[in-house]
Amino acid sequence: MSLSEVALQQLINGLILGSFYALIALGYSMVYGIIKLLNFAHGDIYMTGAFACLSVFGVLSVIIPGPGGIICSIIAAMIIAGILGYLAQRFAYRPLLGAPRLSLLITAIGVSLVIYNFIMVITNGKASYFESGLDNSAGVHIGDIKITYIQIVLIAVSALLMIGLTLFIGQTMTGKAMRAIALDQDTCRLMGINVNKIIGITFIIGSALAAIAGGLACVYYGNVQYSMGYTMGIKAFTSAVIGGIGSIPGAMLGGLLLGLLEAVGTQFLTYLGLSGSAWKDVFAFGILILILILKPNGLLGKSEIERM
Amino acid sequence: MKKSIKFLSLLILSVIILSSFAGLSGCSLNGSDNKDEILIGVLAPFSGSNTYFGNDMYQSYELAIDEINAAGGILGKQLKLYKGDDAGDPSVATTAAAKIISQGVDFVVGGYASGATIPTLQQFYDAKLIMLISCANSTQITSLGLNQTFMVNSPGTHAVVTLTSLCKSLGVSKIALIHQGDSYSKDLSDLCEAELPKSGFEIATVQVMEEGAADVSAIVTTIKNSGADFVYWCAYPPDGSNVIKQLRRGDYTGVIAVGDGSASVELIEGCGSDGEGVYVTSPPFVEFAEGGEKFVDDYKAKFDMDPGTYATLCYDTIYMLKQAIEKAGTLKMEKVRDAIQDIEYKGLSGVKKFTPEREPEISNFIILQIKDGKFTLVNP
Amino acid sequence: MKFIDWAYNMMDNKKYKYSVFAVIFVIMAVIPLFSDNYILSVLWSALFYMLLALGLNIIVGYCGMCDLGYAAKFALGAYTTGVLIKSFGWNFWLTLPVSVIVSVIAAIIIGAPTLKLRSDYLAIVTLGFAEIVRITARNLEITGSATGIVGIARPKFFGLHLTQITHWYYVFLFLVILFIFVSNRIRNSRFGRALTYIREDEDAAQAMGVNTTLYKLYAYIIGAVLGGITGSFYAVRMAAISPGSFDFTQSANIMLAVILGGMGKIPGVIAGAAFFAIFPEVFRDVPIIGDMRMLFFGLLLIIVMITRPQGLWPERRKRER
Repeated sequence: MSLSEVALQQLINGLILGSFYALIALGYSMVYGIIKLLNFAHGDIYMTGAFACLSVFGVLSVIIPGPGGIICSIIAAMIIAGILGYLAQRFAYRPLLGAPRLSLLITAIGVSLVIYNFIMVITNGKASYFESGLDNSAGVHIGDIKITYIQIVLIAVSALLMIGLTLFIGQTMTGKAMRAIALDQDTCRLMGINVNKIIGITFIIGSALAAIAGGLACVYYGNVQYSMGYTMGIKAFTSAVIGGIGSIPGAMLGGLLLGLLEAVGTQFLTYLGLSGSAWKDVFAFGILILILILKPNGLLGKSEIERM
Repeated sequence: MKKSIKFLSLLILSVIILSSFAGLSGCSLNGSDNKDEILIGVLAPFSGSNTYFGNDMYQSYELAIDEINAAGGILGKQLKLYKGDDAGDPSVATTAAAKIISQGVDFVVGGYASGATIPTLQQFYDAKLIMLISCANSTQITSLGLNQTFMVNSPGTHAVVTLTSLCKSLGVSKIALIHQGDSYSKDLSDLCEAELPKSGFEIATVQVMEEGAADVSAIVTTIKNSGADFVYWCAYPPDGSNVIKQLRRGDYTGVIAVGDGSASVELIEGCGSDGEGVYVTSPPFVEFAEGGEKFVDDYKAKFDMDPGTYATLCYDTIYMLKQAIEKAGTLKMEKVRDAIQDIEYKGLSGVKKFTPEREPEISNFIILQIKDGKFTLVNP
Repeated sequence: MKFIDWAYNMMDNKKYKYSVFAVIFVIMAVIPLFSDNYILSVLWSALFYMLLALGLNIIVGYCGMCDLGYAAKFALGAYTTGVLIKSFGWNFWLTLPVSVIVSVIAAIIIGAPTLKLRSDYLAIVTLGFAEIVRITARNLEITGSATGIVGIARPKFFGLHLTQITHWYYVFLFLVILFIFVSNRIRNSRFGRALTYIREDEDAAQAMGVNTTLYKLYAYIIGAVLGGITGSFYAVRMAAISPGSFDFTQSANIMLAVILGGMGKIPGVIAGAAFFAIFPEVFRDVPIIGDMRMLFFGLLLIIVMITRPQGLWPERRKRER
């Protein structure tokens, strides 16, 4: 492979990984924007989404095999994750909305522990494997560069979702209400906005996006394990902060950027004679710290007031 | 007056809580010939991500012990197991070790992850207990030089010898290594990095896959670009199957092999069709062992599941201990220790003899290949 | 809950406070006489968590900064001591000042540029830094790479070779008392009051002439130094350290201990840490519940936070005149 081909292939790799980060980071960012909560359980909701997709497809594939079954399974996963996200919000976070923010954070860690350990107990700590029946390695070749069809679908789906979400938040009444709550909850109440309902919707949308990411990961990687949400969660959280937490375009940009940094970092550090992937997280986190020092609000985060 | 009553009750409460801790420990008798049972501590992960392996180890010990007890025990004494959960974590492991010691066990077996096993060894040594490590095989274990610690599983050095012969027979030249940055897989990778060039192979690149990371495509591209014609995965099955799938989907055409940590049917399940042709430098696999079918049948009948990768090693650990105790004719630590040192035991996992460093003298590694969704034995 | 409130009021009452402390201290001091190694080992880990929680309490409890990477501070101390003893043959007691210096330098490097950031960003920076420390320790040869450093020589204390768990129990008990003393002194100083002010309202504190960034940095440094010292002692107690002991779970656990117990309140923090070390041990062997203990723990966390958002034993700062 020539140097430019390697670079391009790594860019594609980074873009794919970045789309996963971005989809999950959106959930972090939306929730943070609206109630200033670092929702630690979000990574676990992603994991639950993947498991839901796997289990539903296991049953459904008998009736509807192939892509149709997969789409139905992902939709089912979205519903399940949405309900889970709503329940967490309703019973764990809502009673604490007026409490110190650190208590809210601890509650989120508690929710994360509950989901994580629940799935661990019912799966006995073992990984499950997803057999979609699709040809995962079919794709187009440009020179030595390869893009599989699934990768194309993946990027297209993430792009569509992001555009859709941007439109939703920018154009609909619910979206407007979300932005308004991010600015000032009390005033929103006075204006007759049902704040609790809107917060609930935010959680449902965030969780559903994470479930889509989970379902796609299920199809694309095929490995589903109870611990999969942890790494993904931390990375997505990092992406959200890089982009400026609370900012929707920021979450997308941050996700893609972190994915690219990891892929390019692996290759670049290997060229330097190091074991590239061993140091890639040091590289990524180092750049994160650098970005925050230079731009304390993240890349697209605005000052305190304007959010979402 | 009222307040002092409250104060007193608080005091009593705290004493009750503290003494209940003292009560938790139960009686502790130290190992001697006077008891009518032999208590064996099992240090393994019964919680956390390696729970499956911990349970498999425990069940294999249990199978051996039930057979021995049914046949009259050792020196007329019945055997009993005591669980100590190390959770695969070094600091939990030291507490678990203290717990095992305080139960007054006579011997300790187990040890899955090297990282969690190593910190406990000094404790067992200080408590004058023999530790038979069934699975963990980092070379760091014997480097501690504790003469009551025996490694039942072949150390990483044996895996490298097997790997070298495999590479020679396949005629490959540039080797890429992937590990997961944990004690076991890093140790194996380091050994390969040090030893393989001595046999004329070139190490093209060494990469690390973070545990549980979903995407390894960047590593795949780096490996393809490094020109490696052989990839050796040093770590465990769930992530290993992910690596293999992504290597194949990224059009990697070279040979893929995995280390003993991945020698499990889970790998085949996880890889699906992408796993075809993958080589495994494996610990003794029960299906290929002499008398293995009976073991598999017994195991299945008892636990309603297939035995795991380390089942034979764990099963043999108990029988080896039995042979040593019977030869020593006593439970005295020094006598049994010397008996194990000089043992020649033949079991499901091959012949066990120990070097002066208390590592197995004879490698128990075999080479397997995945063919038609099954492991088949390869003789290089 | 009534009983708990009553117990807190008891403890907050000066008249009983010291006698209760004295009783607890005496009980703790005589425990080794009639308990076995396992109990001591569990209690030791409780003491160990108390040290970490007391250190983090300066950062989180007193100053209200969100630090999700406290494991890194304690890793730095542990690795400094480990490397100096193992690779350079130093005496343990001489490594302590070095580990303090390393902690201070690390705290300044990470703290000086980032403490101006909003608290959530501080959380991610500390988390990132902790990952950097852990991965670096894992990759370098001098830190023993993935296996870590094994066979660290145990130190001598006036001729007594500290090898038994009983020795370490007393060493850590002494350290806990020392840390409590330090925490108390800080809390009641002008500096401590300034920290509380920053925690309650940073803008107001700044308006009143408190140099918030500098004070936050000081608090951060003190927290890091306490963590570093704990790490050094941890390294020689365990005689083996590995990167796995310093991951995010560890940081989160310490954080939970501080907040569960009650931020800023020393007895609360200690109770939280003790609970944290002892709870999983007690339930480890109970069938079914043993496997799900962390699940229950999560539920408990949620319930405690909902019913007592300030922690089990929150600080009620009285007017000091």
